[in-house]
Amino acid sequence: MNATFQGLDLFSSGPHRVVTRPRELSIVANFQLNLPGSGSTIIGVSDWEVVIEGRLVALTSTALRTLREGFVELITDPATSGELMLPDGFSYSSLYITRYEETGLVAKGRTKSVGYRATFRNK
Amino acid sequence: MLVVSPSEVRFGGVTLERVELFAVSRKAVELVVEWGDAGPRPMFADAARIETRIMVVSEVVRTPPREMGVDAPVPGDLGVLSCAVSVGSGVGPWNGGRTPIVVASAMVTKVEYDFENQRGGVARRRIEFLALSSDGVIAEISAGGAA
Repeated sequence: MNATFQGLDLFSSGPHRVVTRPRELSIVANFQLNLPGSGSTIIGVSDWEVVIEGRLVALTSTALRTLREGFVELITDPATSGELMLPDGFSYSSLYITRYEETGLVAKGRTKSVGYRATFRNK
Repeated sequence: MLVVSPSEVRFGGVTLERVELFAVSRKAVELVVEWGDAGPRPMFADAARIETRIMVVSEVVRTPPREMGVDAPVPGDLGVLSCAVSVGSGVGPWNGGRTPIVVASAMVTKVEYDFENQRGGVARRRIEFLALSSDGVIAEISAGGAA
């Protein structure tokens, strides 16, 4: 089973892996908030980020470009959230994509392929 | 690909004499390997960059070909490399004549001599070539047809 986002099959052209970023408290020094005294203040919990790293694989450069555009077209303002379904069946119900980046050159061997990293954030 | 005792090897229009061996090696110099989340084994692999190298081994002749000069070939020399193979009667490209193996463009990367493993009191010269493709896609080597 492959991961999907908003029901879209973005990832199945090649292997991919799921990484979750730190979940942490956002802490700001008091002087930055114009609060008296030393110390710091908890202002909330950081957004949860999920990163999918993998490889887009196609037989032609055109087909590879289509796979890439599948991600890029989802990066919109305002952001549109959706369900991110992971390969193990676990899902995040309300994430939006914040970043798509490629991790190297397009490899032009038997196939055209490129490594990518797609970052999602909870809404 | 290995050709033992080719009938003629030419580089840059000059015949290399007393060639014993013409060997073609191919290697992926950049591999792409990818794993998924489910287990430890790779699920995808591709050869992103390939090198084709050719080694020509010949007996050392007393005098180099006049066209080549005393020092030639030297690393960096670029030219067409061809190897003709004499074969017996057969069908297809091995048609009982001389079948050429042609490298459209090859560059000398190494020239060295072996004096320690002489057979019959004759030293060997090894010339290594890197084969080049005209556009990065077309294979560097073609084979077949009449010489």
